[in-house]
Amino acid sequence: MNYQLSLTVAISFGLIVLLGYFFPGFDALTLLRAEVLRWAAILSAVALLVGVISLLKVHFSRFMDQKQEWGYSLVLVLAFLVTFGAGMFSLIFPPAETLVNFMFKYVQVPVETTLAALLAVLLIVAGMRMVRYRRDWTTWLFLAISLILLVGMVTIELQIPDVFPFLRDWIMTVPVVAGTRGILIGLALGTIITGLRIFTGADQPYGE
Amino acid sequence: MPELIDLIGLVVLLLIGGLLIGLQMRNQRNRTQVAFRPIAAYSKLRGYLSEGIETGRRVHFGIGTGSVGAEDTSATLVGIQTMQAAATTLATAEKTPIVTAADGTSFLLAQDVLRTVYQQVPGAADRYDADAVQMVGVSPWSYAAGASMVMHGEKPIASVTLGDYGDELLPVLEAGDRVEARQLAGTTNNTGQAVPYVGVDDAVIGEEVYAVGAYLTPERSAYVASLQTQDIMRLLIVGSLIIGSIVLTVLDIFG
Repeated sequence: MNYQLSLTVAISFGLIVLLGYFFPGFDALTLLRAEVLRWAAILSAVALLVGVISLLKVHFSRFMDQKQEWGYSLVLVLAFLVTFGAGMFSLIFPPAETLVNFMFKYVQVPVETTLAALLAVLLIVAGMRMVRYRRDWTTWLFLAISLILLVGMVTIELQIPDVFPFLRDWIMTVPVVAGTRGILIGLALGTIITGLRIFTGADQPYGE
Repeated sequence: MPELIDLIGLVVLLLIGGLLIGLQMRNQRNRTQVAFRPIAAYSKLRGYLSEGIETGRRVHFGIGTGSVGAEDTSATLVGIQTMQAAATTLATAEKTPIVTAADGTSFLLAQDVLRTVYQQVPGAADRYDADAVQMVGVSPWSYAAGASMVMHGEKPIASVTLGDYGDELLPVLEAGDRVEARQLAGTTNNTGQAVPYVGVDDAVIGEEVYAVGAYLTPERSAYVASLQTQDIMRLLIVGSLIIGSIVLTVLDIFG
């Protein structure tokens, strides 16, 4: 019974949103679609809150049980409390809104940027490991193309043969674009069919 | 009334839907057996799950940094579907698999799916751990940091990261490599395709990510129909591109 109810709700709401998208001229349908999407936005916000509470619960337990690397969990819980306190303070004293902005600008953004900056190093390490352990023709092709692109992109004044910039442009405009479009078409078809499978009830990625 | 472009979209959608349902009904009626081309990553996954059961170590599933309800929904659902199929096998293991998410909706759905699997497998309900599904970050890079921490803490025997991932997948794969986890990775994000390719031995490229159900699920007539529909549509698109190119070239020369 629960299963049939879940299935009916999922298909009905999918149908409302889909028809509302394709037939914007029907006011009742458009309004219904907007209302359903509003519910979805509210549910997403609640889900985020539940997720944050769950994360806190996990890390608080890790800290209390003194599990491995519990120090990180403590930092996470403290950071949450400080951010939450700053947010509440901003609500009560609106001019203090800059406190949350300050934390975001000078803590969150630099930390995430630092992590992203490590990507270049991680890519080199992963590339070297790939060359070491996976020695087939695709690896060598990958390496050769990477080197051509890197040499072709050098901006400082060096005596680089003209063939490298030419090869770089050709690789970027012909094989890369062709491959990207091929992957995009495949992904688009996969996306549509996954959606239709759920829409027709053939796939039920939800509990009972 | 719908505009012409929307109308074309609707017709294409109905065509794909009709094809999908028709092929699925035919497969169910004829009990069609289809041989798939081997995808190394999926072939090895069953072995990884068996190792997880034998060693008593957990298996990590990353379901992507996407959400449910946005444009990356299908990618997130693929990640959850993979976890669902694998959890049916892993429900007999000592420990619950660990699942990491980066959004509230995907976190809740994954938790619901995992709980349902453990309720359905006889004798597994007692082993279900509600904290096995964790929302480890709310942005791609905070997810990367959180998931890497989970890898270091749990030291899983295997890590399966399938879903909507960009560059942030690489630190997670590196963390998996450091704890010597067997890894399978794939993304539906176009710009992130190179990351699993260099990061793991068994990468799933492009739309192969969407084929996971056909390779892992025992009841697979719907998934086989999906792959058949995708192949038919792909052939139609390739044919249209070739014919279109020829027509344009001829018009260019003689027009």
